Amino acid sequence: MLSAIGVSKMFGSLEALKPLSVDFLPGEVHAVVGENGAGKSTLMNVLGGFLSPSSGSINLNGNEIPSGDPQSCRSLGIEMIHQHFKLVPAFTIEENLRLSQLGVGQNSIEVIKSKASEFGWKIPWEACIQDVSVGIQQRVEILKSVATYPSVVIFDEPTAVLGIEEVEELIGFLRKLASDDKVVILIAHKIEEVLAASDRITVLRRGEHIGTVERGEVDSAKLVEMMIGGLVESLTKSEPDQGREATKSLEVKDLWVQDDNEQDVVQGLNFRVKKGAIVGIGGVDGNGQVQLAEALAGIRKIRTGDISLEGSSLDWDQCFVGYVPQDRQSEGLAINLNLVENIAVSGLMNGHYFSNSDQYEKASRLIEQYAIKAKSPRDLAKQLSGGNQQKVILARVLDQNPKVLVVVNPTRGLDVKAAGFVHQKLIDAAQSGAYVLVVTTDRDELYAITSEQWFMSRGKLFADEKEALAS
Amino acid sequence: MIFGVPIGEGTNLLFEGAFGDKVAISQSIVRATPILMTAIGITIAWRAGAFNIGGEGQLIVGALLAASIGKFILNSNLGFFGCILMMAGAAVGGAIWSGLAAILYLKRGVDLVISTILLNFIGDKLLMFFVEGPLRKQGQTAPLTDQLPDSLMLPKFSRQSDLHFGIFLALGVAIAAGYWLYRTKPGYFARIVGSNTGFARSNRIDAEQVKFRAMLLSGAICGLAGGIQYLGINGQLASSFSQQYGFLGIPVALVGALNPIAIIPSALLFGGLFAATSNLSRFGGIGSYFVYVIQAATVLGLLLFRSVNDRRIAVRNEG
Repeated sequence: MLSAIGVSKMFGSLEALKPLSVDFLPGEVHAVVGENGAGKSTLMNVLGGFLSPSSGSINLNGNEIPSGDPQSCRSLGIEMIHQHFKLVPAFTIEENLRLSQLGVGQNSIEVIKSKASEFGWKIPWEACIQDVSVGIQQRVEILKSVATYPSVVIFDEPTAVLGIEEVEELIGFLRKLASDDKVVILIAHKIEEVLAASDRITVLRRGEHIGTVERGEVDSAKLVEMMIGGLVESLTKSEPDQGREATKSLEVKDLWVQDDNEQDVVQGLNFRVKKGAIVGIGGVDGNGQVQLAEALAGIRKIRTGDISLEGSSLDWDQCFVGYVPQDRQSEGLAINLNLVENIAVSGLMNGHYFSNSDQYEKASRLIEQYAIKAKSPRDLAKQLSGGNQQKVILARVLDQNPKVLVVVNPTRGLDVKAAGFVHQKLIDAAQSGAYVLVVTTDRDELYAITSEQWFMSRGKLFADEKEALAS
Repeated sequence: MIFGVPIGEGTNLLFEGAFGDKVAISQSIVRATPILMTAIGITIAWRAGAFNIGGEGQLIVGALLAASIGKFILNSNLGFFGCILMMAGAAVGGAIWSGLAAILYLKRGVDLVISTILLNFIGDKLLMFFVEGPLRKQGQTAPLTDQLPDSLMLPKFSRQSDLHFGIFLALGVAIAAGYWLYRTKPGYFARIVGSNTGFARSNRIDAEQVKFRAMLLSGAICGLAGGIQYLGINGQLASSFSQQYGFLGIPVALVGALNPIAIIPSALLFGGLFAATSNLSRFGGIGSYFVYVIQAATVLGLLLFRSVNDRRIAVRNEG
């Protein structure tokens, strides 16, 4: 049994974790949930020995463990699977495993291989990490840890990188691990996954221990309420305009688009977005959704086909198409530039002059309007949290009152409150007459905000999700 | 004493040689002028993410084109207009040289670092060829071009010093480059492209075009540096014309943090070190190399300071 006894953690004057006591029992999957900044990662890092607590102690089977010493925690049998894998991309899987065993142990590769077959995993041992899927990489990461016969395994948001099927397999694996009398601790974001995987759930909110409950005692609404304090306002979806503008639409006809390797990844799509509606496109990552979104945003060449807006061909030079790309850091922002420079890029006046004072005022106005947490418009984009970064992108795009809005995974990595904010803004945009297309791999999001759903698989659209998965 | 150079006395002489009296100061400024120009040229390209290492080649080809024009107008009465014409030629020459690399990049994806470095060698050999051949002064055996008359050269401030009008040109270009980067749309786009091409793309900014134009502008400014040197100092090209000003522009630009205004003092410092070299040669060959040690130490020291500083900030943000 792993016990946290009166554990707290201060960062300077910030109380990241208020004193809490929780027992993690062998044989159970114990989920720790909370919004971003609730203190989950802090707690995990304390348990894994990566941080020393400001007060309290951690006991493993009645013995206090040394704090702030991850190496001895490992040797005591506490393993942590990080969200960001610690693997060498250019090494083969076997080489990575050998590397991880240096200094720890006597576990030969054969033991690890037998573990893998025990779990029923097929691992391409000779393949390089960079060539295998994220799911396999995660398994390698897990093998690294379980090879040392740990008694406690901590998973830090393991599902964030996985597809739907892989998530199910992982959950099965967690249950199996627990049934082997190990303490399994799971940090997670998604309520359904938590409910599917865990026996008990500890909820944190702003560093405070709200409670630890049995899975049977709660449903998802109750859990969300514990997490964010108070019920979430359910969203009122935007419905297509029924009035005299009902016939207006953004229409995609027989659209073919290629990816960077000149493969047809969007194959003859046809669909309409009615004025005031939000159309959603779901499906597993990598089925051409991003290329479709980029074609609509005017940044990827259309091979054949047509995109028309209210009857005439869409011209990106005349009509501003708001685009929220899927990756905030690599596409949505220039993280080394300040907020003024990040916001100015949309809606620059004609002419050659770049007015610093005008743009500064615009940035200040949007920071206030969208409640972006920044000390000054001169803050660099990288200094902001993920949620605030996303707000900057949304503010920049929505401030142009785009007629067409294309967003890809707009709430990835955001906490419940920030996601709700983003959703409300998208609905507002649709209600004020924009044509909105949401591409997302998050099913909850898809059904929560869109009035019409399509599923994309291998470059084609399906109205039915199961059909898309089966194709 | 290090390697036979008395450090205290050496440092003193170095300072005297750079900023000790009027002559020293004017020599420092004369040296700083082309360095400032090439550093600005390098900055324009680097800020747009186009790593132009070819300042040296662009400077040489700029001077070559200016000298070619000079051969034609040698006996004309164009006066100051002729000088402007040759300066324009220098800018065009530099732009052609960087443009070659830029076209290779745009059409074939050839790495700019590689192509600009190689074009430096070609530029250098071109200079040799032209001063030995087509541009060599009639009836002369030495590899030298015609000596331009004073009327065609950049105005000097006095007969006693080498100080010429070029420094104002270089300062003007530095200020204009600062304005361009921070107060114009093309400059803003260049900074965006240099910061994140993915961000540029998702906002429908054509990153390749922006880099292409930045390369042309960069080459033109480096070419101007060659023109200034040719028309400000000797009015004559020799195969030893280039003093590595094109290469020096890179550390000078980096010490100035790629900010055109901050590059001005950086160029003056390096120009001063360059000018002071002659004062140190009294300690023999090692003495003049001492200057390179100081130059390199400046750059390394700055890099060290930056990395320590970045780390400090990163650690603070982690906490």
